[in-house]
Amino acid sequence: MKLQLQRWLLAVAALALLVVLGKAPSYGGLAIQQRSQQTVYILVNVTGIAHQAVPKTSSGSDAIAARFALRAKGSAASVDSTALSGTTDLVAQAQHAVRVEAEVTPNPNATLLVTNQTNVTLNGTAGTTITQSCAYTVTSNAVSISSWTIKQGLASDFDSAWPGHDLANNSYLNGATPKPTATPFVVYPSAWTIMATNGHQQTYCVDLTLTIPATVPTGAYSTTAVYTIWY
Amino acid sequence: MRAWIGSLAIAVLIALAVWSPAAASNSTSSVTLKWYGQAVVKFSLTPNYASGYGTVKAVFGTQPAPAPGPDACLAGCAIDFGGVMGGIDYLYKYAAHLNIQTNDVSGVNVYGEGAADFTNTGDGSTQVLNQTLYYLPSVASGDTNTGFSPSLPFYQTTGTVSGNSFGTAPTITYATYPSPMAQTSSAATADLYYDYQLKVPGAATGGQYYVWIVYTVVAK
Repeated sequence: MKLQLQRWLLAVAALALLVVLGKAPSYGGLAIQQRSQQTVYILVNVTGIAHQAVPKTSSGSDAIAARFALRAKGSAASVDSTALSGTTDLVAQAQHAVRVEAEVTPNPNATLLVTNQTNVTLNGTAGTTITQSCAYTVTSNAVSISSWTIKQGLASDFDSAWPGHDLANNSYLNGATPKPTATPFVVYPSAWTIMATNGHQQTYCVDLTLTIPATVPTGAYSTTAVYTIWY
Repeated sequence: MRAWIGSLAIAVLIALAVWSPAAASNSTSSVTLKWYGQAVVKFSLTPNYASGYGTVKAVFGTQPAPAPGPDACLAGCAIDFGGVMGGIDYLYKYAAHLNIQTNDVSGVNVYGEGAADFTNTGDGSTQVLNQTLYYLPSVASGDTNTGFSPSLPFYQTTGTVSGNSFGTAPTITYATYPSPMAQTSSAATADLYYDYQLKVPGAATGGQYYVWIVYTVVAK
């Protein structure tokens, strides 16, 4: 009977130890969890590189071809009225509209983690690297929380042929010296990386550095930077 | 006299050769006839074009079921996101289908712009359209987009808007066209499918918002 009780107590103790070891970190008795999320839409307008001209061959003769057309005297104005193509009254167009609507409710948690910009536009030429200092700020308004973590990542690549990690960030406390180097963003589904661990109200500047591969054609591309605060 | 007659005959022959409209050296000639016909452009705009249309909150992983607002209906009505919350991103699946027909061999340019910013019908406040409403390519069925898929913004038009109100579809008159959102390069029929994204600003006041998106298709 005594041995049985000992075994039972031992099992309970082992179970309690497992619970303690397996328990997630907590704040105020609550498990650490994501409290808010903020996104920044990043639009990139790319000017592509023009294709290189084909070199002229050195061999062979350069013949000049010419064609002439004769037409009956006095007939020019009525049979070749190319001026018509320059008028603006003959534009063929059609137009339709659709209404887009939504019922917006204010979000009580929208102020916990905020950015000063929800949209950032970068303009660059293929084959170059561009940098935008403090493109936006990320602010934690968790004033009563002594320890929190902000994680970051990109929701998608720019394009199937243009990976998101070509965009790097240098995130530092507003007013402080930027870090020596920028760090490429991770892209979903990779796990988000930690942008900062701190406490209370803090604002971070985010410098963006974008490398545009020479192969990217002219066009507009986008991705979304995602920030989450955990405590 | 004979010589004079002979000289006159030669002169007449030379004159005919010089002045005749048929003076071309070829015994036959062709006539190129050109004319410029007016291109024809037609298109239909179908909101909520496939079953499964509607609003999906932007999340990673398993996607929630689409849930449109009450003013949306299959193959018509409005693109109604329904109830949304400030600071949250949303996707609207199967939002708009454009079926374009033209006889212009060069194809068409497609423009899509807002008649105004995203406007609160209650307090009149507005949210900048190109920071609120976005579009992205979709498909006829089997849409796999999410609220985080890459997209491009709708802009408020700089054209002249007529008749814009919640219940009245506006028209836009262009002095200069903006950059096209899409284009075709032949006279073939084209189908364009779009989803929309709504990124609700965290500072947006509560209430009913709307904007008319005006599509214009122009022959090249």
